[in-house]
Amino acid sequence: MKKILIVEDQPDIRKLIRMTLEFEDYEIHEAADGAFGLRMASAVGPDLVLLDVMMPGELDGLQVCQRIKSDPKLAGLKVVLLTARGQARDREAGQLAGADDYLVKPFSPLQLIETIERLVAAV
Amino acid sequence: MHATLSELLENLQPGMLWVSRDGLVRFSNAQAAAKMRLNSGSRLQEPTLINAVNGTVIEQTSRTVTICGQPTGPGEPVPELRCKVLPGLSRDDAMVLVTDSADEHAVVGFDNLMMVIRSDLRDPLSALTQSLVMARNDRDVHSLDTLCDQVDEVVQVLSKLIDLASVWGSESLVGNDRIELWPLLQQAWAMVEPLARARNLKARFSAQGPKTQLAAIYGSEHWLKRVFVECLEAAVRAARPGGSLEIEHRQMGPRALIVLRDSGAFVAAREESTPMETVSSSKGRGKSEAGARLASRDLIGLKLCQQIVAQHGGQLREEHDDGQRNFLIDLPTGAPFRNEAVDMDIAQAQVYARDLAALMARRRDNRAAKP
Repeated sequence: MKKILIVEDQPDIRKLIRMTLEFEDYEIHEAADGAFGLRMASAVGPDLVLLDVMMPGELDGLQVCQRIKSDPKLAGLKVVLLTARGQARDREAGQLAGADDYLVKPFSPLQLIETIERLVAAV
Repeated sequence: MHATLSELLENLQPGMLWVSRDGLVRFSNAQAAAKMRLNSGSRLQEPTLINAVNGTVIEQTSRTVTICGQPTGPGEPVPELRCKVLPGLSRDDAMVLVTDSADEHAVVGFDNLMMVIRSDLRDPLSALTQSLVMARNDRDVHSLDTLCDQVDEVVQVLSKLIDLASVWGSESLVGNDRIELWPLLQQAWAMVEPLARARNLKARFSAQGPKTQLAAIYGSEHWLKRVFVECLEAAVRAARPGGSLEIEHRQMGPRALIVLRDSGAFVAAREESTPMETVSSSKGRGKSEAGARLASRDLIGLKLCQQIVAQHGGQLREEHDDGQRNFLIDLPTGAPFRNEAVDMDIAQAQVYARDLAALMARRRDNRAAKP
């Protein structure tokens, strides 16, 4: 079973993502901030990380993504950024951080599942 | 009346009347209208207050009188109102601050605001107008250059005052920009550097840890840059010419600190407290007029910075470290909680509900397709 890690500070959005993914067969893990998400990524070794960009705390989503992609042990993880910021420069910042895909909130759960399936299939 | 001035006056805690010499109420904020039943366009009826306004306009000195107000309802006692009458913006009008208790803080805060308007705006503009006329008549180009600089200084004070009114109580100004503080600090310094160079000051910037790994802030890049510029300018003005400034970026868990080490930034202003609240007039403390003007100007800058930083969930504060007085800009890193997060929850839930049937159909099809 493929593992998905959700890193999102808003509990309601986290719950909605979990409910969406429960329609498929995934092992789901959750973290409520960037620093904990990074630790979970190391500990759990997920196939894919759904990462909110704007989170309170020391590390925002872009920084977590950068650190995952620059860590040889984690660099193979697929990262999907979730954000309310859909401007071109925000997408560019996501690409620079090494994200594999970028979904703008509010995103369609169908779009989310399709994105995850496509990326996980390539792992 | 200019919208900014109107907002400033409307938001004053005590009742405020702007009256002309003949007793016409040119402006009455909501508090004054409720206490005295006097709206803009009406006329003063209370003889004691009319005399006080006349005396203030003629002598250009403030005075305080006590009058009877309007009861808040039938059977309610008649309140005693304390009216402080101050010289107005021209020589033909007056401002009346109305409180139903001895609310000295608000009254003194208004005194300071008026002091800034008079000493930093009206008086310099009057002097400049006279000088400009003389320079024009003499065709004195050198004097015109100097006067342009002085006009620029007055415009800066006015801009600061307008910015303060803009950010007052308004959370809509806080944006969602992703801000890296280190480059923003460098941009702010580039704006302040000419002033530092003129004072032969050097600045040394340092950061704890690699600069590329410092935490980001979410908010308004424009207004946070304004905070940095104000604080750096205050530090430059407070520093001894020929000296140096130390500016440090510290990361303390989920907070970012910009530390101006032993800079003296806003020291005079903070000792005077704040312009809208508890400041007592520096004129009465034997300070020079220039010193008082500097302090009042710094007060606007300090209050502006406090307001912007508070809207980002942070604070300005001073720390004493080994005999040094450090000035700190303390900001939470990452995204602070705002109502828009709740709006996003709702929007996401709506999209989820819209696609729920399709999700369930998809699951049914997947199961049916499995052998």
